[in-house]
Amino acid sequence: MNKTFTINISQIVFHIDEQAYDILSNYLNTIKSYFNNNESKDEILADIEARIAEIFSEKLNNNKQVINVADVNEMIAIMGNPEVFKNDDEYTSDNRNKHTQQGEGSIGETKRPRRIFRDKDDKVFGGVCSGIGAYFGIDPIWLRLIFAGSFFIFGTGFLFYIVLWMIIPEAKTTADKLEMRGEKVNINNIEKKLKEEMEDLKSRFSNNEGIKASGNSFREFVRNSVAVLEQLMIGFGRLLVNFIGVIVLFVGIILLIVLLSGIFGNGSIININNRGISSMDVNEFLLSIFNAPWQLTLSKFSLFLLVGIPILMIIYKALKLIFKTKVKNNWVGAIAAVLWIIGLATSIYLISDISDEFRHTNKVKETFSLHDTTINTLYLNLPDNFDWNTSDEDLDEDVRLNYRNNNWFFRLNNRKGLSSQVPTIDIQKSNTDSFQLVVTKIAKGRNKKDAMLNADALSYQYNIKDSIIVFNPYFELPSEPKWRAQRMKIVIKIPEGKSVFLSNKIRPLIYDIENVSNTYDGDMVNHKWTMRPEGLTCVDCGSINGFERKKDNNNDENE
Amino acid sequence: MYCIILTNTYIFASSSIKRIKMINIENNKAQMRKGVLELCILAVLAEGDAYPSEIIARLKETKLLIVEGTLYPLLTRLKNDGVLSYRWEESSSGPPRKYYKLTEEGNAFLKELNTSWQELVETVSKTTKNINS
Repeated sequence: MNKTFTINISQIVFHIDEQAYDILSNYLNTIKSYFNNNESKDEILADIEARIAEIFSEKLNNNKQVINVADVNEMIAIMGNPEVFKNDDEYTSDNRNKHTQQGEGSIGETKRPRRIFRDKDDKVFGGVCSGIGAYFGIDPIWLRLIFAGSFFIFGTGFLFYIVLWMIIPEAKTTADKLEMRGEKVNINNIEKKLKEEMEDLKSRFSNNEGIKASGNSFREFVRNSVAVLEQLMIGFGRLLVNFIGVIVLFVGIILLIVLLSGIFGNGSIININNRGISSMDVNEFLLSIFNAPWQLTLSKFSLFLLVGIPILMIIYKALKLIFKTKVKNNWVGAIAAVLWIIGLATSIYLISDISDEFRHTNKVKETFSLHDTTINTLYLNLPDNFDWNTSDEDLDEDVRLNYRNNNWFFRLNNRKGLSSQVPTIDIQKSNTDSFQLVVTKIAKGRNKKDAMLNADALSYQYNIKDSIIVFNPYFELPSEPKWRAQRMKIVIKIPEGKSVFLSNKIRPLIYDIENVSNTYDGDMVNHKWTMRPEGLTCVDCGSINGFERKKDNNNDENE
Repeated sequence: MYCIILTNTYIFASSSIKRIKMINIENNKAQMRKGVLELCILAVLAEGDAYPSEIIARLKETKLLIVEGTLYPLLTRLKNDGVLSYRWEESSSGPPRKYYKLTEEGNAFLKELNTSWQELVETVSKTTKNINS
């Protein structure tokens, strides 16, 4: 059962089913808006309606009394769509400049709202630039130059172009081409459109229409009012959506550039300290963690997929929102999901592979005993020519990264990768009656043996001359260093009754030395400490040992 | 870098030449068809008065008209220009029909149009002889 309207076209009454009615009224409205600026609009419309009435009359007989969708479609096929009228009567799409300047008085004045298409008649690759140019009224050559230029921003332009290519449909039919150069979408148009709707509503209300649903005029009125309101809301909504879309698009593009520059660019880890600014190539740093160069490549690839795919999808959605294209690319989401999962899988593989390298810890201990029992006080110092605050000719560091507390790793001048770290120094009570120096090298590895080999590869030098030990401020990693959380602990064991003097320079090395007065490491330097049965005691600190740090944190705190 | 930019400019330049050609062909075709369509409508009406559907039936085989919708604005314009006039006639199968008729002015216009068309055909076929042979 179908609902039927009674309509009157050119003074002839027809019964028409609901669906067919919608198509017919839509068709007539399109034609009407098409001839809007034509002086003879009413006459042309009356002629067309007369012909429609005639075509419909031929369809009806005693057995068939209702116009259905097939009849309306057949009629439209005979009469043609307004876009085709235009194409047949005059080809306006290419004299658009002439059009806007002098506005010919014939049909085709009312342009259709502009939509974005790829212009295959004027293409270099996919016609994206010419399509966007047509949409915004820009000469495509500028867009092409921008795209060609942005190709060099780590290929951002290339990816963006691909996304646009997927989103923007190709202008295939003449109607598409007309829409491509159609009326610009802006606030003026929306206002104009609203005015047209209002006019339409008025004229319908005063029964000037050739086509109307008899007995339904109130319902018609309500329907139209709702339609106008709808238009208003849609117009406002579109502005808002466009605004949001543009913001999201810009954020997406910036994220894309950041990501691509991180992946393909020569990023640097920049370190600013009191010796100035130093930097280290990110690739070089990563290579010192990864086992093989191909892992670095794979990590970039998976990072691109894992982070880049979501960013590209954000750009994709934002562009769809802005241009409202009707391309149905269901496969885009599926492919993006697959690529993302590949990225996730490779990332998980890499992370688990690398974390395997850090699974086991092992240490290598070297003990050195001072057999000279005449020494009562041991002086701990760094080389005379070494200064933490000015760069040394031999030990010029490029970059240093804080790892844990006092552990740094950094690169020495003219070497590749990370090569040096600072050891830590602790002081404990000796079980024997001689001074002892215990150097513990610690490193991580895939297994215990691997970890031990990594630890053993570290080398450290110190000089003992009489009662003075001169430490090297750095210990060195092997010639092709891999960062495996290497650390070096130096423990100086002092027999009871003997003393140690900590020079000022050694301060960055000392780490959590236990003492009876609980003095902080930074305050222990420049003092002589004696090992007593209760522990390490300061013998030249004065009476307010424990509070000394409050007034004494001047020179080395900046390090 | 320079090299690449120069190459691109070359591509842009060559593509815009291509575009101009395409536009002109499409435009010319449309312009030709438009002029000829008017002449043909007038020629049909010179044989006797007719209403739009009849004119269409005559023109259908010429492929000048693709859809009927094109005809109505054209007829209205010709009528407004004084080339055509019309009268209403009752129809047995629908609404009254508009029968179009050439005016005096229209006859003269048709003759003039026809003469210039013949001249055009002659000149064009002479000029394009080298292409066709």
